[in-house]
Amino acid sequence: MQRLKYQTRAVLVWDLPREIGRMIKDGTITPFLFLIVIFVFVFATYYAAKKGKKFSIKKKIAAFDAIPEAIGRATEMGRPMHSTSGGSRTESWRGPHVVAGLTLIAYVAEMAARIDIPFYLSVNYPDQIVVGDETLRSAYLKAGHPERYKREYVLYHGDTDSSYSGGMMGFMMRNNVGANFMLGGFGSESLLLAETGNRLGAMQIAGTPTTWQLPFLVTTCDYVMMGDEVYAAGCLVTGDPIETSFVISQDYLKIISIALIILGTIISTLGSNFLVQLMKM
Amino acid sequence: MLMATNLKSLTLRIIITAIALIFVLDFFFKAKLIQDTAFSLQRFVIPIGGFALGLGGITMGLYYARRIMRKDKFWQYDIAGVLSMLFMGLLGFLEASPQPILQWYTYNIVTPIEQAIWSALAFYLASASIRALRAKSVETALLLAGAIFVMIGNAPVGPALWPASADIARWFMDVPNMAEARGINLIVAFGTFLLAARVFLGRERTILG
Repeated sequence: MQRLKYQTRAVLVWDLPREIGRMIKDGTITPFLFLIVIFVFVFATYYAAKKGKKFSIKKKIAAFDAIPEAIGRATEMGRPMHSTSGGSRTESWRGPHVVAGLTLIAYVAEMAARIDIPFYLSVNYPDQIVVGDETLRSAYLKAGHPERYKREYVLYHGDTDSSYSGGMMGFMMRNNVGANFMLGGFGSESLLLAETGNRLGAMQIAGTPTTWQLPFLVTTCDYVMMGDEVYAAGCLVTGDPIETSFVISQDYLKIISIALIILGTIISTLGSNFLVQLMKM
Repeated sequence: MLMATNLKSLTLRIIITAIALIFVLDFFFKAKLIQDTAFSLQRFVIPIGGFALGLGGITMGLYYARRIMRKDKFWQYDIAGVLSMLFMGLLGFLEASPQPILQWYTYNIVTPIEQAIWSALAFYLASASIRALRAKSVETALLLAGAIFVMIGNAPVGPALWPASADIARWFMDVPNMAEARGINLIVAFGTFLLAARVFLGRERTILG
C-alpha cells in the first residue's frame, strides 16, 4: 500500500487549542491572536450594519470631497484628466495600495464618464493594463455611458520606474492635463509626476498609504489623503452604511492600539518588559 | 447574462479568498500540507507570467500597429517603441550568452536615459523643498527649523563645524519622525486588512471588473 504523504489523526475538540499551539510557528502566537481580534471587530461591525445598525462618519476627508471640484475645473478648461495607481506591483506588499487607489480611480472615472471628459490611467506593469482596462470599462458602464470608453485611456509606458515616470511626464506635458489623480502605492516617481502636474497648473489630488512618499505629495499636490484615508475614502465611495462599518471597525482598532501603546509606555517606564515579551511570543 | 456575470464574480471571489487564506495560514502554521500548497501556488506564477508576457507582447504589437495605421496623435513615438521592442526581443532570442550587443544597448542607451530621468529628481526636490519650507505659519516655521537642523547634520560640513549637529539630526529622524511614521504605518496595516476583508466579503469588486 502506498505510504500516505500527509499523516492525519483524529483530534478531539477539547484538544484543539493544544494542537493549534503545537502547529503554530514561533513568534507568531501574538500576531495570530491579534489577527483573530481584528477579524472579530471587523465582522461584528459588518454584521451589525447588515442587521440595520446605522453608522455615520462625522469627519470629512477633504481630498475626497475635492474630487468633483478637480473634475469641474478640468472640464471648464477643456483639458483632459490623468490618473495613476502608482509604480507598485500588484503582487508586492504595496499591492493593496494599488487596489485601494484603483477603487478611487474608478469613482473618478465614473464621474468623468458622465460629463464626457477624457480620463487617462497610467499603469506601470503589464498585468495592470488588464486590471486598469477592466476598472475603467466597468466605471463607464456603471455611469451609463460604455460607448464613451476608449481602450486608449489605459496607458502603459513600460515596466521600469524610469520609463513609467518619463512616459507619464511626457504624456502630461504633451496633452496639457487639467487634473491629475495620484491614488495608490508610490515610490520615488511620485515627486517627478507631482512636480510635472504642478508646473502645468493642474489641480492635483493624491492619496497613498506609502509613508515615505507623503512629504513629496504634500508639498506638490492640492489635496492629499494620508495613510488609511485612502482605504477609508474607498469605503465612502458608495455611501453605503455597510461600507461605513469597515471604517468604524478600523476606528475601534485604532482605539485598542492607542490603549496598548499607552499601557506599554507605562509598563516600560516602570521597568518591566512584560508587554515586549508578550509581543514577541 | 447577468447571472453568468455574478457567477463569474462569485467564483473569482471564492478562488481569491481560498488562495489568500492558504498564504495567511502558511505564515502562522508549520503544517506540511499548508506549506507545500503555498509553495506550489507560488510556483504557478512562473508559467502564468511566461504566458502573460507572450500575450502582452502580441497585444502591445497589435495595439501600436493599429495606432500607427490610423496615424493617431504622436504615432511616430509608437514606431520607435515597436522597433525597440522587436529589436530587444530578437536580440534575446538570437544572441548567445553573455549577449554583448544587448549589454552594449543596455549600458549605452537604456541606462543613460534612465539616469537622465532620475537626475531631474534632484531639481524637483529642490523646488519642492523651497515651497514646503516657506515659514508662513507657526507650523511651517517649526518645520523649517527642524529641516535646517536635519540638513546641517547630514551635510558633511555640518558635523565638521559643529559636532553636535549630527546627533540633533539623528534625534529628529529617530524620535519625532519615527514616531509619526510608525503611527501611520500601524493604521495603514489595519486599512490593508480591512481591504482584504472587503475583497473576501465581495464588497470590493473594482479590480475584478
